[in-house]
Amino acid sequence: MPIQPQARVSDTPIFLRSFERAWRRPAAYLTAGAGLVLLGLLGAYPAYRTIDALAENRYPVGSQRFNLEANFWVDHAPELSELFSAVSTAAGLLALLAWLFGAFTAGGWLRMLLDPGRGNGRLFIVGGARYFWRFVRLALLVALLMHFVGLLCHGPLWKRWVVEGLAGLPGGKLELADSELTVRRLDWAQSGLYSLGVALLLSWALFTRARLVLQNRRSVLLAGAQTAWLLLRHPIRTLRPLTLLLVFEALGLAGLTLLFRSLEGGLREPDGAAWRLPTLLGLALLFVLWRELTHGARYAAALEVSTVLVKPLVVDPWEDRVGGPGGPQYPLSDSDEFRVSM
Amino acid sequence: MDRHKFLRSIELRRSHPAASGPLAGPGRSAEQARGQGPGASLAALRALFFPLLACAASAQQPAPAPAQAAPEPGAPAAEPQEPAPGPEQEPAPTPSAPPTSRPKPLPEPQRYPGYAPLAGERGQGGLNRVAYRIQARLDPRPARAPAAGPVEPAPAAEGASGEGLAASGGEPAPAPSVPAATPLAAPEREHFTLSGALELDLENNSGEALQDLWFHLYLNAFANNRSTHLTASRGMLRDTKVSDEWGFSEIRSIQLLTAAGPIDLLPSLDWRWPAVPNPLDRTVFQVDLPEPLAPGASLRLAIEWESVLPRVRRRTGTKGDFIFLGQWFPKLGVYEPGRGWNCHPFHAFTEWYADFGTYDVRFDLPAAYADKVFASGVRTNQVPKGERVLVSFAAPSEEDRTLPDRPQPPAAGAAGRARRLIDFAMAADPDFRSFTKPFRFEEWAARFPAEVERARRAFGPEFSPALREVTVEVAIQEERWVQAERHYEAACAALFFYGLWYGEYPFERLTVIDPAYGASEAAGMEYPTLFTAGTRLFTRRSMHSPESVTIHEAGHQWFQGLVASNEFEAAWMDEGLNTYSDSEVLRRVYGDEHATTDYGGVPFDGVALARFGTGLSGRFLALERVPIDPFGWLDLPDLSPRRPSGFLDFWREQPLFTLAPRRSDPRQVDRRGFLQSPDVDPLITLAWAARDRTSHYTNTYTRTGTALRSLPVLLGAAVPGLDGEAAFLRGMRHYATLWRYAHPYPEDFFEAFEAGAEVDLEPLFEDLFRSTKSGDWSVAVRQEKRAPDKGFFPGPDGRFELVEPPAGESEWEIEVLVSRRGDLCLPVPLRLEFEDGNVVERVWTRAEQQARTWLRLEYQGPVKLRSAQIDPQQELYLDTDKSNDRWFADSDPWLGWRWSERLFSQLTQRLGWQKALGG
Repeated sequence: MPIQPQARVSDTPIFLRSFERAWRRPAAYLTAGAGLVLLGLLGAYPAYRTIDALAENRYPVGSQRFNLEANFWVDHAPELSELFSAVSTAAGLLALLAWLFGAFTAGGWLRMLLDPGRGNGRLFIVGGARYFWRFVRLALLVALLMHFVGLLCHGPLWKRWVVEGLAGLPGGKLELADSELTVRRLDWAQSGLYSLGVALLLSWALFTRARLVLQNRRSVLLAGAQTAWLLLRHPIRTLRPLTLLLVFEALGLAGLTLLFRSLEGGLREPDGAAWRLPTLLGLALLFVLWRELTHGARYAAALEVSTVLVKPLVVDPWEDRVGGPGGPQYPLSDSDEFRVSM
Repeated sequence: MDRHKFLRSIELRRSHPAASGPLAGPGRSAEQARGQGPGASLAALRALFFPLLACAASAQQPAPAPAQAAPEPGAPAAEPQEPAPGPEQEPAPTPSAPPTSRPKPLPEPQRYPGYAPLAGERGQGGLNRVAYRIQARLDPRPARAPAAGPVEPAPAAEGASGEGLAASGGEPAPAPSVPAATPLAAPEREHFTLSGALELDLENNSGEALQDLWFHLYLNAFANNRSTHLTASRGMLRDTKVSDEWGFSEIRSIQLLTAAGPIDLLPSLDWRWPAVPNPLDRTVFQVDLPEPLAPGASLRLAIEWESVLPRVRRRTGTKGDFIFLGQWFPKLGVYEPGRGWNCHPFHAFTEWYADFGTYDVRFDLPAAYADKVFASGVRTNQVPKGERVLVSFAAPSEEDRTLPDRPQPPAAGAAGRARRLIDFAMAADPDFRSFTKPFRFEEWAARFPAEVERARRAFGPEFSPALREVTVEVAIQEERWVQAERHYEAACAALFFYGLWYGEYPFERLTVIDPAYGASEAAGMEYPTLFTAGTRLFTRRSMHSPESVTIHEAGHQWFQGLVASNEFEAAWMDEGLNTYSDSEVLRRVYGDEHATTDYGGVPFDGVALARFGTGLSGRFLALERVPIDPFGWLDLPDLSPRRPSGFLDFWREQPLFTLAPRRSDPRQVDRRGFLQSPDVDPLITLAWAARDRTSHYTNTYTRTGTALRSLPVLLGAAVPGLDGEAAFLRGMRHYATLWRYAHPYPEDFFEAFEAGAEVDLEPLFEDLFRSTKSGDWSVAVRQEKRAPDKGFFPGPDGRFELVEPPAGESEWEIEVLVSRRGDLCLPVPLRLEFEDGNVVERVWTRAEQQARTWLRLEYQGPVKLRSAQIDPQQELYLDTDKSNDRWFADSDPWLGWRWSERLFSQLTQRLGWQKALGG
């Protein structure tokens, strides 16, 4: 059955309300964050073993903490190359797992957010499992659409229309530009357009997932098309809360980054590691959790906006009954016989 | 006409069937000289390119031999070459013939008479002197534009040398007219043509009579893809595959100016290919003198030529309206007594070699270039002339060329020698903006008093450094104006430190050129009193850009501008010495270099430790590139869900949080370069004889720099009580000041360095410079508590007695094993530090290492060893693995945590993005 919408209750900006809703569901962001942390640890653990083994007894204590000197990189080049090559290869596989995990956690978030209570881990997993394949199909569609966004911004059209046409560079060759600033501006314009396109695409995907859950839809394409129409009709109402959440997230990340950098500088001191490194590790975990939290808030915002703008699918509750309200309720079957008399 | 000339003329005609045109014998008319319309220029082009066609039509001569195989390690330098056969022995030229199935062999490599091997060669100083007076007209032309009219002879430039363009004999002759630019067949784009006329005065101080003259015509390296330059570089010039926008030079006339009138030397012009046979290369030519030029005599030549300037792909050329002229005029080679003409083709791995002289040059350019022309020496005049502007330069300046070189204490150095230059370059760009400020020694001495003191300590109490004031001029692109001061400061850093170490910069001006965007191939190149730097829009001081390239190119004013070693045959003598020096300056003034990662062209401090998804499978899984083979027949590209995007990548990777710092000491960076090819060829291997480009460039730059940097610690270890650093400085300064305005060879460097350092370094030089020896020194420590005595031991009476373990702490047994791998034996200092503060220092000598590859030191006592270090100051950069040079009792427990946390942060951010794509 489709899930009934809930009415708006206050004038607090949607993005703040969404953040608060997400914040009140720790099972969601902790579970999602833990999964990401686990994937990260799987990739990073070999470095712990390798660096320790390479440096053992060979360098003054503290000398390589803040920065691995050039001689370190040179003298251990084969081992480091092997290490980071293995990590890079593993990262590819971890990326796929993360992608699938994302499809799973999206369902979990949405299910938790629709629940009026705080939810629990079991609800998260149930939601994740329920919508998993739909969201995988949607993720494939997102990848395909990202390719086309990239093609628009980086393909022959850009070269012909913008570089050759607008900027006047023959053959679309950037090296013929008169100044580096011209090239930089073109690059920023291209990057900006591409980023905007991807941001819109991901916003569309967010709202599509919300629609799929609200309406319990199966068809990703249809839901996606309807969502696109929704975004076109209500761009401000749909995108504003997401934009504000993006800014909110960026501010949080900036604060954590400043704190991190100020602590990291202290690693130059030989005795500075005892409390700094655990703190830095903690900040790294906080960084992950903060992003997870704001991601959940985006789902909350999408749900809230969608419950107002997205009508539930019409369902006749009496479709499979005989008689009207108050009378006998018989389900019809082929063996039933009935007569109508006037 | 003797047989030699007859044979050569046959060869010329057969190689250049169109030589009846512009390259024909004397007596041609001015019209013929200028060419009549496109037909003549086409004929000229055919004459130039006919060898290409002839070779294609004939038996497809094999390509020039690539770099020869490296000699066996430890083998002596190249075997002495047989003297070149005399002219009468030259093989008859191969007539053109229809293609056959078997390629015909190349002619024997042409060697100039008296060529001797490099090993043991000595240089020369203060030999032939040249004076160039050049007029050049540059015209931008669209493709296939009609020829311009003849250019009126320009008046003598004011303030230029009083000689003007006078013929020998003292009577002023009318200035030679610059021939009008002929419409040469050009690529379909706007290009620049250059019409030039020069007068060359040559003073023969070689002590030998000169029978002929050899010239470089460097620009022809960019004429086609068969030149020696392009062949050796496999068609690549500074990472660009060259396929069009060629350039070339054609000699229109060469005349020997005598009192009796001019003598045409053009009929005797012959192309030469010493050492690297390639008949398609036109970068070296020879003309015969009607009579030998006796020792002590002088002559005057007049040469006219025309050039099409190439797109700047390697140092010289144009890009849009940016012009850089380097190696742009016919340039006399160097005659070395007993050796003959040292005049190599322009090989991809080599640079220049020329005699010292003066240059008076006038450019005729479009008016847009007024105040935007910068060149070697000083500008003496600028005259607007309608739509044109005439700009004149004198290099050195009039004042500098009359002042003798000052003494460079503690030795006299080259005191009294005339201040001269070996080359002349020019840059012009209407977009240039000029920043000019003086360098003053006092300001820098106040900033680095310790360096001045260090120099005093090395050179003696009588050393009182005082360097002349130099005007530093930076011609920079408008958009990079904020970096002008940084260029200036870096140039001053070189003037200060190099001046302190190697003698003062003797000229009044130093010009720094910032090439235009898209002309970065002109960046990073040195010419006397002018050099090109190279930078980018967003850069910070900590990135050492443009500081690194500026200091390096400014440093070349000493090596090779003043100490003009042969860059063809011994490039390490300037590049290597300069690499050592510039890293020392960088470290002192700018500290460590910070590696950065760009996002949208903006650099952020730090690097990513690992890439995200490598290889096809990795990139597929990371959704960076998804192959869609089933649709390959539709010619659909792979799916690329991810494209590079500064903004998006920044958001996705959060570089401010995740990037790991990577700071590098410039000296260690040199060592990294050295280790790319530490033992393939001896350091002094000729460029074209190196195994490959990596070997040559490593030898030339970083291996030399690393070897020099290791000398101070080796000197200190080899000679007890010697201040190795001071001795090293003395050695370098002695060489640099003794060989100013001269042409040293490797043996001169070794000898001068030894004399200055006052240490016999022959075995060291033999190992470091003439062999492929390398070495890795390592230390290993075993220390453990001595097991207490247990069991029966002989007592005083010789009988066994049961011994009880003593109470209290047992002693430590310490074994330090120092080992050497490789065949290089160098004295290395050792330092052992115990926990009670006791320090043991000794040197593992060269003799000990030659006797055995290891050294064991054993100790026993109540105190543990805290550390054991080979080369405790970490100055032995030649060690191929420094990770095993030191041992410490304590390990850092946090190191693994620290770097795995960095990797963890980077991975989680990237994985978080992937997760967001999934949902």
